Amino acid sequence: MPLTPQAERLGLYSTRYTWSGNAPYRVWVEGELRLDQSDATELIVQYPGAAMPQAIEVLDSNDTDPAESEAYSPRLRLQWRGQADAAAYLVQRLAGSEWETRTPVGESGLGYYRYITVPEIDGTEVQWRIVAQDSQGYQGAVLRHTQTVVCNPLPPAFEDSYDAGTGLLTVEAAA
Amino acid sequence: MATAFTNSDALGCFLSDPRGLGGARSAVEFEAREPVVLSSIPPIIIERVSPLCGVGRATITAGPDNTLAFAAPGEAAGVYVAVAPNGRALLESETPGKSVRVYRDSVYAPSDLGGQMIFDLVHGVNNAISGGNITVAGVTDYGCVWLYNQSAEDITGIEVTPGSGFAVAFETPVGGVCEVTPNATTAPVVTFTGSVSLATLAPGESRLLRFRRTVGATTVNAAALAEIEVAYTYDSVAYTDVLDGYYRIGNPALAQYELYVGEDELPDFTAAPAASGALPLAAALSPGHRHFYALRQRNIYDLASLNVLCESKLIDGAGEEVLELLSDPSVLAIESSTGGEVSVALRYADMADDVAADTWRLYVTSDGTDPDPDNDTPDDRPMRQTGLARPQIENTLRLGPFDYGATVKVIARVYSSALETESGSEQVHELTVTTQVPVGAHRLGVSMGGLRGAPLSSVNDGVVYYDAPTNTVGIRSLTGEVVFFGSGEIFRAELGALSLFRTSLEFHTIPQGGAGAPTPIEVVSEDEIYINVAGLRRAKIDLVNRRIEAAGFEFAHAALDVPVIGPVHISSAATYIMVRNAVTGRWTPGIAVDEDGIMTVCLPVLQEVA
Repeated sequence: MPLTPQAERLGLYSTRYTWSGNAPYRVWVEGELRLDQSDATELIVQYPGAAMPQAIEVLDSNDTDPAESEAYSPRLRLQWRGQADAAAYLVQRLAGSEWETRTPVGESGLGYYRYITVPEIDGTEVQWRIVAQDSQGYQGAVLRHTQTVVCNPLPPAFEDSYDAGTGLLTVEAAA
Repeated sequence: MATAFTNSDALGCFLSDPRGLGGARSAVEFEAREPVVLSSIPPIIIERVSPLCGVGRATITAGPDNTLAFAAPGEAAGVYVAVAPNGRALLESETPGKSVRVYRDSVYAPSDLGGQMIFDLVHGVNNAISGGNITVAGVTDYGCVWLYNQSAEDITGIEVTPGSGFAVAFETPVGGVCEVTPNATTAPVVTFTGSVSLATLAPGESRLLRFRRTVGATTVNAAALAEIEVAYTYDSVAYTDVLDGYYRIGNPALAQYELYVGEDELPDFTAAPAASGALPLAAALSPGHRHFYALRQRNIYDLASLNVLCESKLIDGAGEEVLELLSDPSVLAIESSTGGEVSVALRYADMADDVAADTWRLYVTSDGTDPDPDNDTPDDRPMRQTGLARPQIENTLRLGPFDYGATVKVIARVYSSALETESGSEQVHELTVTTQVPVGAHRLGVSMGGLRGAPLSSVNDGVVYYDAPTNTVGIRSLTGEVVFFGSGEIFRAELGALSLFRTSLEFHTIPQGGAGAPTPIEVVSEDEIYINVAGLRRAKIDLVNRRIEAAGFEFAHAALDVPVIGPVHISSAATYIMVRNAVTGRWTPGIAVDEDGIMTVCLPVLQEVA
């Protein structure tokens, strides 16, 4: 059973998580392993953009089941084989009808290359591709991958209100 | 024996709708196991891993003379096999049938083979065998793979046994082509059975293996495994291969939002939610408690959000919400500083509040008791912006000095003068003072050769109070900085790379001149303070109305040359509040109030927003 950490907002852009259990701990944030077999009982997570709750999963030494963050990771792992004439590989994600280059990966003779994507949203169909490019910028082979993502849903954005007359807290979808 | 499927493109079985529908044999092999390569031997490409290898960490180790040996997960390596440049080899692990086929790409990497390749074998998802995801309502659909003998010898005794929910059928291609069906829900014209067999598959020969997946109403499963076992004999060795892949069984009824609420504590996310279903959701909050709540979402595969950060509402005894308009600050650090002082590093997310606070409000005790915000007098300090476009305000405040060994406890809040309210933190931060207020003269001097120079200062860094024994009005002097304070900070004069006179008070031209005390600083209360010259009140500090009153003001923006010591110097013609230059050791006036009631500010003024 995963631990339930306590969360304290440190500002708009960071949150402190603390937990207790039986060390060592493994901690995933947004599907990424942040602490592996660590005795630490605190993690401060900083992130760009507006403040929002994050997906965090903490397992201690009592946990034998695999972490959901790993079994159903929101991040795709792209792996491809290097090519002889390539100078770089463009990692691209389909956004609408446009392919956006997320990063170029240089050909360095490693043989195999991997790229871990950003966390994707549960239930969406995403498309990524790898485009080989030579030193002159000419593009060659394209490896394309389509995946329907199954993972823990994002914490939903919501708006809340309280009615003193009824004593009810109401949450509804954010506008 | 290779297996392949049809109507695919480059990434084959990992496409969203990868099922073969008949037609001609594809060139893309079925891969039930994907190798996730952690370290590589650059020329080596893993072309295929036999499913019998299972999952887990495997290795390929280079031996002498360009040989390689493969170790499947959990077992020892098999024999070393030579791999020629631009050639293929089948590497078998300790157990026959657990194998990888590799290709040595000498065009990509012409070097000899060396080192070790480490890779994790994982299952495929939504591949040619497992198909797409389904729901608990069940499904009947169809797929196919080709069995293809790419060796130079017969493969004999082929027995295909599908796992639960599958039925299979062989179809013999005519001219290399089999019946094409339009989609995965259209049944092909074959007879499905519980198992099929084939006596011989000749070299280069293909056979289409069709299968039907029939899953009845079942339970949700985010990772269901589909399996078809293929046993065969090759070169007098019996092999058993498994074609498999994961698919998911969803239950649309599980998709919902879940509202978790905790009363005076964080919610228990392992317990039932306070409310669940479609939005909006409502939960009752009992009066007289603080309630923490968080909203999660659960999908059809029974996977829920993993957020734990909560919002909170405080409900008073009458059931009314106590509006908390200000966020609490965070205490980043609290530590014992020099001279018996305590420094408190604070951060406040001013953009998080609709109306931002403008004041740090600290409740401080040094006698071991907890501060009591309901009864204690707070120590208010103006906030200073820490930079343009910075998303939060961070200031470090100095408290004290306190006695050595004193236990200092602090509750940190913020206060908004616009809202006339403060935040509600009750968190007590505590430390023991480990430095001491200096006693006696501070005999700092310079020496030139064998001669000892004159002391630059005989005044300690520290605090001088002007309303003893209450000790709330005083001047704190540190190297390069002097702070004049009453119930709040009056001003702070800084020398250094950026010399500034910081104040949140306004300058009002209101002549003074009443009879006062002979001392340079006269305290009527912690909110009413005078700067006197020759026994007359010449400048007034009004911390209620937050202003400095004097007959006139001059902003010199340059240091006056007054070669005397501070932090307060009084002459018959003026009173100076001074700051000591950290480099030269000389005292420089931060302000001067003369006998005509003119206050001269000697440093560039930074008028801070109160």
